[in-house]
Amino acid sequence: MTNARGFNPPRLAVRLLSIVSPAEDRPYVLADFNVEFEDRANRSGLAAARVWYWREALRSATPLAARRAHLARMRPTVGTPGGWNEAFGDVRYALRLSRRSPLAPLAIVATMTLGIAATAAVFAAANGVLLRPLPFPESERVVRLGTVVPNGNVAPTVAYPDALDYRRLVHEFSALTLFSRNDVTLQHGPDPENVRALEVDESYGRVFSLKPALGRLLVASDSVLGAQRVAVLSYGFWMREFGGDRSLVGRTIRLDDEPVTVVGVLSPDAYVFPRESVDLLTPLAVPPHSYMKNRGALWAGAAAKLRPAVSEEMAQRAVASVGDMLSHEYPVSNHGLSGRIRPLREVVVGSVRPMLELLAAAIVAVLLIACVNVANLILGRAQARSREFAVRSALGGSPARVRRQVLIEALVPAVIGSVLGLVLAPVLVHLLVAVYPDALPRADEIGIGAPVVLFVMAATIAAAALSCIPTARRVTRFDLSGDLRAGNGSGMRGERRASRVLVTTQVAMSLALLFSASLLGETLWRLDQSRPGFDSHRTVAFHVYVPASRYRTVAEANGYYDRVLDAVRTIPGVNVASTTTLLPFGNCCNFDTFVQEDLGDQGPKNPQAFISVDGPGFERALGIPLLRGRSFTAQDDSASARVVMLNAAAAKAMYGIRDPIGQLISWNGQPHWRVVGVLASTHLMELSDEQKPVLYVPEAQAGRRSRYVVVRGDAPANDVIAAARARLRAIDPTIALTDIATMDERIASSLGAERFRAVLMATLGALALALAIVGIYGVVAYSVSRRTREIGIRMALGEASHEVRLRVVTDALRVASAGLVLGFGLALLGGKWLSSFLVGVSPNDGRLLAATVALLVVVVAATAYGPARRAAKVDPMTALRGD
Amino acid sequence: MPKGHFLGDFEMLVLAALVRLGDDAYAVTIKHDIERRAKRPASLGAIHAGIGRLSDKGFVALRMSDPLPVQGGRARKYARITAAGRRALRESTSAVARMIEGLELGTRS
Repeated sequence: MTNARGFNPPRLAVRLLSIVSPAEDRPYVLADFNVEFEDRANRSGLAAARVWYWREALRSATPLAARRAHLARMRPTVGTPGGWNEAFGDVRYALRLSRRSPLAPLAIVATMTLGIAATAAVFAAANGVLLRPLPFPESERVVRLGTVVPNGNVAPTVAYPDALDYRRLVHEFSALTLFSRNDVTLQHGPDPENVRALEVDESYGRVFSLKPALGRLLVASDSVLGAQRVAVLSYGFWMREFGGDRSLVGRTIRLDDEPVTVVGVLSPDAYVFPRESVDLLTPLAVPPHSYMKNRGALWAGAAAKLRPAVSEEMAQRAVASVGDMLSHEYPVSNHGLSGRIRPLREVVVGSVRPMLELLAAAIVAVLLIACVNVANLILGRAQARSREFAVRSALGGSPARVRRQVLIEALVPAVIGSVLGLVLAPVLVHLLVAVYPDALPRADEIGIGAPVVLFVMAATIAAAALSCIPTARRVTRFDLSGDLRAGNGSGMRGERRASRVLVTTQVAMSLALLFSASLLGETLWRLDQSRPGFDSHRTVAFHVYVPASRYRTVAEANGYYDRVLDAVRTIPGVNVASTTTLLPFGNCCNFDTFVQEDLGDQGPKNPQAFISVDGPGFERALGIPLLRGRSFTAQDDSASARVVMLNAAAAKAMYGIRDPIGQLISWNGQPHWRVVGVLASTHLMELSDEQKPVLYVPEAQAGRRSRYVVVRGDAPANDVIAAARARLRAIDPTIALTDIATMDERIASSLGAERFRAVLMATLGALALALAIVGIYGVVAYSVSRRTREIGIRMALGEASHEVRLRVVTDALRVASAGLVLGFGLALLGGKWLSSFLVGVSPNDGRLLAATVALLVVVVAATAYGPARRAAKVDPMTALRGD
Repeated sequence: MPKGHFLGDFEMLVLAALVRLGDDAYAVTIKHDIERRAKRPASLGAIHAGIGRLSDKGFVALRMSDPLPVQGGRARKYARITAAGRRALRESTSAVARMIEGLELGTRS
């Protein structure tokens, strides 16, 4: 609009006035504004007049719009047929609008995609690993039976005679089976192959609901000593090794160089515990005079099936009472021992509940952040279009109608996002499984099935509805006055509150998640750094089993190991090589009771320890420091005096501050084992374990057919392994190396669960942070764009651009501070929740909390800096001239 | 007095300005009068909306002028207080006066 003097009032303000004014008043309103504008332009200059015009227009908008709305209501509205046609119209409108300004809908789609994909992936993992029962019939009724040892820990094994008593006396069990892993060597192809075998009794098939695909399962007569040796193959092994040859059943194969008759093949879906991939089952036979028949020799794995309608608690009570009875009846071997059952699923997947809760909380937090982002985007969009809504209202659009449109506009991108999320989720699951194979015990069972899709649908609808709430609420309170002031430079109170809520929520959630992640990360790091008690570097260990069929006596077996060690020591770069039966982070656990001869037989109070049977120099190969006395030498053989070593934990438990060297003990039915040395204590299975007592015995005085060969040297591990493999084949081609890994690898894989938790939390935390950055950036950028005029005026009044930047950043930080406070509380809560997962770090570790808070402050400041810089570049004149 | 005939304070100010301004009352002059005398900001939009409302109630008669016969002259919407408007103003102000009679409200203007 041009007047006589050529002064132009601000175009946008004129447009605003035109929009809000009732049609019949419009020319007069504009004329009156122009009169005053010209007057002021003449008196005080054009810039001041423009500022006046804007202020006056903004102040006028509310009453004019209210008047306009009032007049519109007075007019009869044009009736519109409601229902689906209208809803489809809204969808069409939403899509058309998205085409026109695609940025916000794209952001919503992207946010929903990420949020839903992460949620679906984690839910799929949780569902597959934690929620679903194990994949065999009546699996929920199967428990593992273990032994409570005096220090309160539960050994995953039982003594054979005890197990027979439990089977006889615990009527809550409908079946109890014993099993023991026992790898064998198969001679089938050109090379001997190590085969993962499980010795099981005849009840095994009943407990695990096994069915043969061919032939039969094992029966009681198979376990009788002297019976024909038989085996049942797993389906996979049968296919892999024998090409699914149906005529194999009834024929013999050579295991450990002996003929064994194949009597059956398991069905393809058979679930075999405790090893997910067992190649064959052989009968468990216990020789009459073996140590395996000792009470107190905890070597057998045991699983039982509860009778229908028997609860875990009832069964546990029965087991405990039998355990008590046994410890009274056999005080020497069984004092302090008792039975403990644990649902098999818990055994397989670890403790379910805390992990599940952790996941659920983390997912909810991330999804909430995503929702808040989407809510903000929708709100921002609605606000940018508040004039459109005002016009619709003014023209008779009911609040409900407008509200529905807002909802549909939110649902459209949300649904698109969740569909994309579902497409992306399997990729994430795949990634999760690929990166952490050990961390997920049932990885092959994870998939995007119906429960996941249902869950995602529910999550999407909930998220979309949640995201709409702030906007819908504002639309409900649609008095035009608020929303027509939209151009007001000071910002609307509602809008500010909404963005405060957004920033607060996101900062709080991010803080809690990141702090939790940092706690888990610190735990992982601590454990990783914590010394296992031995020097694990540059050491390789592998397992070798010498079958009695080839090396009939212990002396022959020892001879074989001597030749192996001599050969391994000639490998270039190898410094030390020896053998042990108790490999830290390798196998577990031969546990036994013995008698301290200085105290005499104390019956139930006799000391107990893990038994390790070792070759000379094993402690140097493993890097376990010798604290006192001497280690085993080649002279400690069957002809010389019996000697043992203790670890520090055992020495302390048995002798306190007295010198253990020279003390005598009775073990294995033999008196006068003399303590000659003390080794440092080591962790045996987990870095988080306490260090347990160990009794070391020289192999020449207590031979074992199954040993770990430990090789320490400077050569690369792979070269050592390859060379060792070649040398062992040269000595005896029928014997295989198994469980080959460096000690570092073994320790690292023992941290699988910790790593999984830490990575999961870190991933979710990073996702939360990324979403929060997007959200905070949006809020700050939006508020800066709304305050362009204010900033322009400030700069016109002489505020320097660095002050503008500082103001924007400090404003953002001020808003974020509420989130930091709230997040602080949430973080402490989260830490408390996590405390059972934490090792070496307190759940309210001040250092980590401070670091997390600092990180968020930096992130918020950095995020706000971008918009702040743009704000500071505002040209005051441009800002004052237009929007 | 029937409901709806109570005047809001802003309406009172507008009506009072109309009485004072007589034939020269349109949004700009009303605004200046209220701001000068009542020391209250009054936006042009609020005044337009206000006289619209008052005319709905019959307290104000509106007259649209033709564009003024001067350079840049434009249409104006003149407002004149009606008899009913005067009565309403009188009743509302005297109600206020009766209410505050004898009250000590302090000396701040």
